[in-house]
Amino acid sequence: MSINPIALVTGASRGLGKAIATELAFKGHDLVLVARNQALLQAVSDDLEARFGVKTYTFSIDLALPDAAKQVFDFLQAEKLLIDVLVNNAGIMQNATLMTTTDAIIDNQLAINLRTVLTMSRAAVKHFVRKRKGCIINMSSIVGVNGGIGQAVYAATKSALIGLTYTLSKELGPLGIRVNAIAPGYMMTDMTAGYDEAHNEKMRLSTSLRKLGTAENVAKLAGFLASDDASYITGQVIGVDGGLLI
Amino acid sequence: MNAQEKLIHAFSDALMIEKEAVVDSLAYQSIPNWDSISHMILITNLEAEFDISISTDDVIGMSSVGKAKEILQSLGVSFD
Repeated sequence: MSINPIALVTGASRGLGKAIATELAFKGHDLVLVARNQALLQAVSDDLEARFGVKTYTFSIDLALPDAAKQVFDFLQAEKLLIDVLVNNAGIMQNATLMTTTDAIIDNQLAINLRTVLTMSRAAVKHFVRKRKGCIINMSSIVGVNGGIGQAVYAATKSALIGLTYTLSKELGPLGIRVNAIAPGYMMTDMTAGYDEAHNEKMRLSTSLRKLGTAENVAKLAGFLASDDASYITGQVIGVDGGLLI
Repeated sequence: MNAQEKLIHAFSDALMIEKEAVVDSLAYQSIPNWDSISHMILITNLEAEFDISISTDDVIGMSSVGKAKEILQSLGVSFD
């Protein structure tokens, strides 16, 4: 049986989630990879096991389902796995100005970006309490900090994760559980692949570092936050944005 | 250990009280040691002792030692 710490990453099949899973595997974590697409998850699993010699488990599920967290954690119980790190990375972005924001846009983003983060965290806490140690990393966004035109629901959910991070860090700290959030800026991932070159250039010039971010930039921070090097860090919202906010 | 002993051990450990203090009438927040923090520890202790999963509704409903027994019995634990 492996003695590696176990990290569960949602949205692990691509983009930030895949990069975070890769970094955590590099740092010696076994992984539970959760996302909708089993084929993509399996590819990530095979790659990480081959490259880093860690053990990985995959679980494909639509995280918008009301009982998604229960299904995930029932799977962990069946596999007799107690996780050490939860990365609430999965999220969707459906842009619309407020007057064109449909109920479906509201419900879809609330379900995945917020509700499931809450239910996954609620379930994970039981694992962490047993060990008196644990780490939750929530994926917020620069939009959650600063707002974004045409992103009312997305911004609201990502801002909610900030409040959640602050609250859980206070509530769970006495039990040795750290809770932090990462607020990525404009990153070159699948989520931003639909934007054109002119938009990307505008965003690049808006950063003080004059460059766009990569998934690996976020993954490095996640790897640090999950490690004992961050043992005195909790309740923080850390931007990875090239200075986009300043 | 039988079920009663496991129950007492779970409560005693989580609440950091003497085993003799674990009686059916002991209620949540009736003593300083049974607060929201120790309640979380209690839930995970019971799940580990009895190899069960306690739902959120039952976490909320576990308002006393006696109530804990009822919940455990509903989850298949026998105190006979």
